[in-house]
Amino acid sequence: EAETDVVLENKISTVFDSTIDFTVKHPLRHTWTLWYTKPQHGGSKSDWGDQLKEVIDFDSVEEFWGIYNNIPKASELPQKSDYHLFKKSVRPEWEDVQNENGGKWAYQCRDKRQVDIDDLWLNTLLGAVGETLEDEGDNEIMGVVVTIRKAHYRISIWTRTANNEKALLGIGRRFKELLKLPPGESVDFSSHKDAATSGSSRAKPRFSA
Amino acid sequence: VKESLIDSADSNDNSVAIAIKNAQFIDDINAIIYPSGINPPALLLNVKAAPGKFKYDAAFLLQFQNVVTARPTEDWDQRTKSLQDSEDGKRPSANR
Repeated sequence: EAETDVVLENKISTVFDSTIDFTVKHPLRHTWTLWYTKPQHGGSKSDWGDQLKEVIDFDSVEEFWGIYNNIPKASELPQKSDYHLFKKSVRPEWEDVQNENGGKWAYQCRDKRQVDIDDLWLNTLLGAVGETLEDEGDNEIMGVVVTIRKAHYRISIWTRTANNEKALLGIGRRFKELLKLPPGESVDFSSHKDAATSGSSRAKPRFSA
Repeated sequence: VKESLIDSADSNDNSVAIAIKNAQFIDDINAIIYPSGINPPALLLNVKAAPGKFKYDAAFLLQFQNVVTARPTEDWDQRTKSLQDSEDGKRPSANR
């Protein structure tokens, strides 16, 4: 009772009280950067870096939703485009020194009509910004990616290392849960170095979940 | 001309952007009293949370989805230019 009175006197209010008049917002544990890969039209592969655009940084739940609600849904993106949500100061590329020893969990769906990619991608985003993809102290999550291609969708979770087996398997299990994969389907983990030498998405998985 | 038209059309949106910018970060998530019908984050997630360092479950976060719908920054069009340009996926970027 006493605590309630104090709160009311201080007029602490959230966006749920009034969307244009509130005093506090919900902090995220990290600042995140949304990146977008524009489809290239007839360009060579070396143009890829130029197609990767930094869209916006944010560090609150309120900003996340304002952004999410005002950008195209994954299903509305043109082919050959990607969204990347990464911790600030990490470029969503293998070549970033912070990613060079890392890897990724990836789920690839070839029958695009069978999945609600918007729902799966939103669940992945919420796991990232809500910090529920990993255990306290794992410090593995670098970012998440949705890849829109003619023949498939892919959602990936990028990690800092490729050998911290206990933490990585935990992340893989959570990924599988949030994707609501039917029994028999699995997600695979590969290291960026393996992928770089054997070709993107052809690398032999190091782990499966 | 085009830019000023966009600005005036977005004047309502900016009040939300300003409110977000001016709000303080929550320090103690357990001190927040939500309106009835809104559930706080799952308690177990933040048992050992340091001030301002919270985890949020998806069910909690989804409650914001239909609440924060306005553009979150005053310079939204400028910041999201790359996305707007490619929404039709075809427009060439020669004018950049």
